[in-house]
Amino acid sequence: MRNAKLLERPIPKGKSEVSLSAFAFMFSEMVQYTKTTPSPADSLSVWESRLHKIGYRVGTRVLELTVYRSKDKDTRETDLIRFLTFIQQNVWKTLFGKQADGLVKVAADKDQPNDVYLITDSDPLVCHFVCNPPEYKNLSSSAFVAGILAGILDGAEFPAEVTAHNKSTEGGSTSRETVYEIEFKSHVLQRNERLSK
Amino acid sequence: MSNKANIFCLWIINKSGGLVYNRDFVGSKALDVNSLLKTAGMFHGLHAISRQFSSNPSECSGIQVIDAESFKFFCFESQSGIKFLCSTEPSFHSASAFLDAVYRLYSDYVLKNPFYVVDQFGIGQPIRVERFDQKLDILVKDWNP
Repeated sequence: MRNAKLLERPIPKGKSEVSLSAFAFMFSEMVQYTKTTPSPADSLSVWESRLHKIGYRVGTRVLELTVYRSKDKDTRETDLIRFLTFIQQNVWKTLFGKQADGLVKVAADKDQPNDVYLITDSDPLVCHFVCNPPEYKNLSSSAFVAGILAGILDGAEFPAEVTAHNKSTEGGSTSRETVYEIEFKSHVLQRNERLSK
Repeated sequence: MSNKANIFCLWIINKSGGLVYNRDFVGSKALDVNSLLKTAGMFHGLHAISRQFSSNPSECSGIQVIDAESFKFFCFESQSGIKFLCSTEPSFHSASAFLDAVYRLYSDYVLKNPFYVVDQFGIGQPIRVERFDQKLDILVKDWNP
């Protein structure tokens, strides 16, 4: 009977904070779990894609919650840049308590036909305590956050492929900076161009 | 006078008595690995036996300080049975603040690391976490002027 009352309560306003240690232990279990379930991951990309999938489910819900709590919840954002800025500022603030460090657009060139957008985070909170051993040097646990971003973008009708790149795994530097590379599907970019004219 | 605290080395022993981490900060001639493991096991046994010397063994904490002429040896046992040992300069008062900080680093960067296995097939695993080493270096730099 107590559970029914729980569902009738209004959504709590404002920030709710969770202990970083509690989350870190859960994330540590998540990383170990995705390695072996449903079958032992035979490559790093399979491992990362499992973390990505879990993040996707979080992303769709985070989008609803953040929009509901934001100031203009009655209008839907249709402009690409404004929505990315919304992610960089509001969503990051909801999730990690601070804004993401940068939002950059990489113009299309001969290697990539479409523009690519990058969101940088100098020290992702999610993998604060994770340190890759030499045999899994290139595993990027921020694939979880990339999944969150993919879920948010899909939910807002801006489908894209999001991947996480760690500076620390490539090139051997000790910086923990992570870059989330967002590659929108072509129809999204075309639609955006059409609407902005 | 200046707080010339010099920390010579740090050992971490798990609750079954196996040495899981040893680090030397002053470049002294360390024992080889097997001797280190044996010595750590011996200390673990002595620590347990030393409780019996007290008039009330259940309230005794075991060896905490070993005072010698050229060094002082501190032992901190956590609630979970992990022992943090360090040897320091003889004029050092108390290493409890230092060992507390090491315990905090251990519970952060070792226990929350998904790649560290505490216990595999009943055998304690050595700590090989790069970030823990780096953070420990920074901590010891603060304590070793």
